[in-house]
Amino acid sequence: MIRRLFSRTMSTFLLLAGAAAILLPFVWMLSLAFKPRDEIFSQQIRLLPTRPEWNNFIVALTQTDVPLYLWNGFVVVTGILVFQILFGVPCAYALAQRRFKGRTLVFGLVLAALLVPFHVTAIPIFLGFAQIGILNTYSALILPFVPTAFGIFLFRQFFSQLPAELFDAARVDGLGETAIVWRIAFPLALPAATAFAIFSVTAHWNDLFWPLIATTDPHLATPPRGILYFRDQESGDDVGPLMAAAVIIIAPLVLTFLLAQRKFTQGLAAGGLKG
Amino acid sequence: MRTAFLATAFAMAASAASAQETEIRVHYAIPTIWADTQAALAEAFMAEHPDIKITLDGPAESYADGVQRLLRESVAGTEPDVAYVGLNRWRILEDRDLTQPLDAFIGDNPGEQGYTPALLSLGSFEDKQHALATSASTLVMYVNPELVAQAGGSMDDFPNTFDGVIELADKINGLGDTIDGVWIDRHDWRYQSLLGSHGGRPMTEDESDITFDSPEGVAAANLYQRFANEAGMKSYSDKDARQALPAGTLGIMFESSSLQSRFEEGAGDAFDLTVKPLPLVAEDKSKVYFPTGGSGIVMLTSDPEKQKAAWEYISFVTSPEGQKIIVETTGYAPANAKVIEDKSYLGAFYDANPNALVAHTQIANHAGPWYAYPGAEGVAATDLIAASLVEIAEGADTEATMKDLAETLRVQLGMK
Amino acid sequence: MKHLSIAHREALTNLWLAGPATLVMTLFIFLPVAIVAILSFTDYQFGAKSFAWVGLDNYSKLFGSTLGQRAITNTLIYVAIVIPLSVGFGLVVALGLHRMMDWAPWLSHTLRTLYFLPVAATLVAMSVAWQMVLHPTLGVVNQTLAVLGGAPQDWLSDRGLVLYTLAAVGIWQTVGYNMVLFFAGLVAIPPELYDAAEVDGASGGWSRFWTVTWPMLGPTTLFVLVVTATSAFRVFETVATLTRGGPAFASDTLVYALYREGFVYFKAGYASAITMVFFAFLLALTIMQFRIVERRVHYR
Repeated sequence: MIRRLFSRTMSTFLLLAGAAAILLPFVWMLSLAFKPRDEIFSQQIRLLPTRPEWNNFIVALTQTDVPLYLWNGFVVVTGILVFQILFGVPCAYALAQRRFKGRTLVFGLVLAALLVPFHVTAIPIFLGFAQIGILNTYSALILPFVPTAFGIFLFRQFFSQLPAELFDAARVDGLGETAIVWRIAFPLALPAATAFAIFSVTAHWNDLFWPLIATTDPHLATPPRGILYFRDQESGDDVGPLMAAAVIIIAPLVLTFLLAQRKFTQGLAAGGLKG
Repeated sequence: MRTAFLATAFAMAASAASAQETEIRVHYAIPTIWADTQAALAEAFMAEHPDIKITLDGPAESYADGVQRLLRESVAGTEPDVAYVGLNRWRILEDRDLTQPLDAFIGDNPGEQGYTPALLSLGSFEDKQHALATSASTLVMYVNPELVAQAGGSMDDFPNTFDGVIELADKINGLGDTIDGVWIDRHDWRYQSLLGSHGGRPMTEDESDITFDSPEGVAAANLYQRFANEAGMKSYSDKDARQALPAGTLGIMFESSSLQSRFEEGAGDAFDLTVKPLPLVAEDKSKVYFPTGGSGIVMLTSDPEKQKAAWEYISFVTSPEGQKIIVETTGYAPANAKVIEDKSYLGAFYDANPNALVAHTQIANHAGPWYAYPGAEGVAATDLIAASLVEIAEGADTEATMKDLAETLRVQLGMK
Repeated sequence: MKHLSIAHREALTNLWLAGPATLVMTLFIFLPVAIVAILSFTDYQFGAKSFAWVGLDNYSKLFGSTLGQRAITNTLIYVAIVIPLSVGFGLVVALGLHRMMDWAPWLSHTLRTLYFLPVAATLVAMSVAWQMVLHPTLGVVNQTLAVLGGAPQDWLSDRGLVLYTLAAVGIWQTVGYNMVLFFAGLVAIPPELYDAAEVDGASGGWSRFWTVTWPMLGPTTLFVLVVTATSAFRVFETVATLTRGGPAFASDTLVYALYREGFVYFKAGYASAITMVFFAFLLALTIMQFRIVERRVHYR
C-alpha cells in the first residue's frame, strides 16, 4: 500500500516536473508579453509583472503587421486546402472505386510521391516560378502544395471501404461521376476530411522554408515569416510587443487544439508519415 | 447617357493624373537606423517634386540580407527602381549587370554638386559610376564613462593603444559578473578596420591576391583572441551587445558610428555615452585607413521615364539637403563635400554633437574603401571570414587560421 | 457526347477524375526531382546566363570540404540525440500517464494536453520565445542558474553548446507527439493480455512491460521512430530562427545548408547536390527503420 503510494507520488512528481519543463517557454513568453519594458531588462528574475502591460498587445495588434500576417496565413492555408481537396478527392475516388488501365501506375505514383519531402523540389520550383514571374504572390505560396499524395492516400483508404453498391445505385439514379464524388462520397468522408484538414492547415500555417524562399515582400509574409521580420526589425528593443506578437501568432492553432483535442491529435497523428 | 459621360470624364481625369505621377520604389536596409530617416527623406523629396511618388519597400534587416533580397527579386523580375546598398555590396549587383551607370546623369561637373573624387571612388568600378555614396560610417569605440571611472580609468587620459584598451577593459570586466569590459563583432568590416589600423590591406590594388595573411593581418586578427583571453570578451551576438551597451552592462564597444543616435537614445540620462577614435598601430600613419561603412544608392530600373525620376531622387539624397537630413537623424557622416565645407549646413550640429565630430573627423582623415571580395563567391567569403574570427576568439592559432582562410579564399575567389 | 462509346466516355471520366491530380503531381513533384538531379551535376547559379557540366564536382565538394562534412555530421549528431530521447521520453511519459488513468484520470488528461502544446504551437514563434528564455543575461535559464550558483552559459552562441541546445528544443517540440501516439497504443492493448501474463508468472511491472506492453507497442514504436527520424532530419525552423547555422557554422544542418547555398549564395548547382544527398539519406533512413523494426516486430 505504502509502496504504491510512494511510486504514485514519485511518478506524479516526475510527470509534473516534465510538464513544467515543457511549459517553460510558454510561461516565459506570456510573462514577457505582459511585462513593461523596464521590468524585461531588469536583472532580477520575476515571473509575474508588477502590472500587466496590455500595451504590448495593443502595439502588436495595431502598430505592426501581425494582423496582416495572420490574414496571409489564413488566405494561404485555405487556398492550399481547397485546391488539395479539389484535385485530390476525385483522384482518390477514382483509385478506390473505378477500374481503369493506369490505376496501378497512378497509385504507384502516389506512393512514390509520399517519399519525396518538399525540400527536395524547392529549387526547381523556385526556378520555374521565377521564369514565369509568379514569385512573390499568393499563387507562389499555394501552388506547390496542391498535389497532396498523403491526401489522396488517406481519402482512397476511406473510399475503398465504402460499398460499391452505394455508387451503383447512384449511377442508376442518373448521377454523373463528378456528382457522385462530391454529393455522395465526399460528405461521407467528413471524418477523414477533418483529419486531413487539420494536418494540412497545421503544416502550412507553420511552414517557414517555402515562404522564406518564395516571397521577399514583407506584406506577403505568412505568420512564421512575419514574426521573423518583426523580430529582426526591432533589434531587441521591443521585446514586450515581440512576445505579445508570438502569443498572437500561436493562438489560432493552440486554441483550435484546446477546443478540439481529439480531432486535432488524430489529424496530426494520421499525417505523421508525411510529416 | 450622362452617367456614361461622367464616367468617361472621371476615367480620363484619373488617368491623366496618374500619367503625370511617376512612382519610384525604393529599397533600403537596417530599419533600426534608417526607418525614420527614410520617411523624412521621402517626405522632403516629395514636397519638392510633387509629380514623383516615393514608395518605400519593407526594409531588409542588414545590408547582406538586402543585397540577397535584391538578387532574388531580380531573378523574379520584381526588383525596385532604386536601392540603398552597403558600400561593399553594390559590386555584387554590378557583377550581374543589374546596376545602371550614373555617369550620364551626373554630368561633367561632379565637384559642383559636392561629389569629390574620394567620394566618387566609393561607388565606381572600371571607370563607370555605379553607385553614389549616401552615408559614411567608421568603426569607433563607444565608451561608458561611469564604468571607466569605477574601474579606476580616466576619460581625459583614455588609452590610445590597443594594449591600453585591453588593460582598461580587463579592469571593467572585473567590476562584476554581469559587467563586461569590451566587445567587437566577428565581422568582415570590423576586421578590416582593425587591419587598417595596423596599416594592412585585405587585397592587392588590382584584387588579384589576398593580403590579410600578412603580419599586420595576423596581428589584427589576434586582437580578437587578446580581447577574449585578456579582457574576458564574451561571445554573444551583435543584438545582445547592442542592448548591453546602452543598458550599462558593457564598458567599451567597437561599433559603427552609424549607431550613435540609437545608442545615445538608449543610454538616455543613465550615462554620458562617449565616442573615442580607434587606436592607430601602424608606424607610418599614412598607411592607416579605415574602411568606410555605410550605404550607396544604385539605380536598378532601365525604363527611361523612371530613370529620370529615379535620378531626381538619387540627386536629392546625395545633395547637401538630403545629406543634412541623414546626418542629423542617424550617426552617419555625410557623403557630400559641400555639406562639410559649408558651415551653414552642419556647423551647429557639430557644436552640439562632439561625438559625431569624432567619427566624422576619423572618416575625413583616414577613410578608405570597404573592400568587397570580387565575383560570385563574394557573399560567401565574408561568412568564412566571420567564422574564422570566431575560431580565433575561441583560441585557435591565429596565424595558422588566417593563412588557412587566405588560401581558402584564394581558391574560392578564383585567384589561383 | 452521344456518339462516344461507353468505353470512351468512361475513359474521359477517369481522365477528368484522376488526371488533374496526376498532372500536378508530375509537375510539382516528379519533374522537379528530375531537374534537381540534373542540376546537381552543373555549376548553375540563379540568375546566371549560362552554366556548365561539372560532373561529380559538387558532390566531392560537399563530402570533401570542411563545411560540407560539418553540415552532414551536425545533422547526424542532431538526429542521434533527438531520436532516442524524444522517443524514450515520449514512451516513459505515456506509460506514466496511462498508469495515472487508474487513479487520477482528470490529471492524466490535463497533463496530456500540456505535453502536446509544443506540437500545436507554431515552432518559429516558439523559437522566438526560446531565444528570450535562453538569452545570456535576460533569459530565465541563465538568471536561475546564476541564483542557484551555477554558471550561466551562452546557449546559442557557444560553438560547443549550440547544437545540443537546438537538439533540446527539438526534443521539446516532439515529445508530446510521440507521447500521444504511444498512449493510443497503450490504450489499445487488451487488458486480458496482462491477466494472461500474470497467470504465466509475469507479475512485476518490469516483466509485464517486456512480455506484453513492449511487443504490443511494436507497430506504434515503428511509426514513432520513423516520424521522429524524418522530422529530425529535416530540422530547419529552429536553425533559421535561432542561429542561422552559426556561430561559425557550428549548427549548420543539411536543410539549412541547402537553403543557404541555394537561396543566399545562389549556387543552385551545389545546393542541388546537397538536396540529392539529403534525399538519399532520408530514403535510406526510412527503409532502414522499416527493415530493423519490422524484423523485431515479426520475430517476437
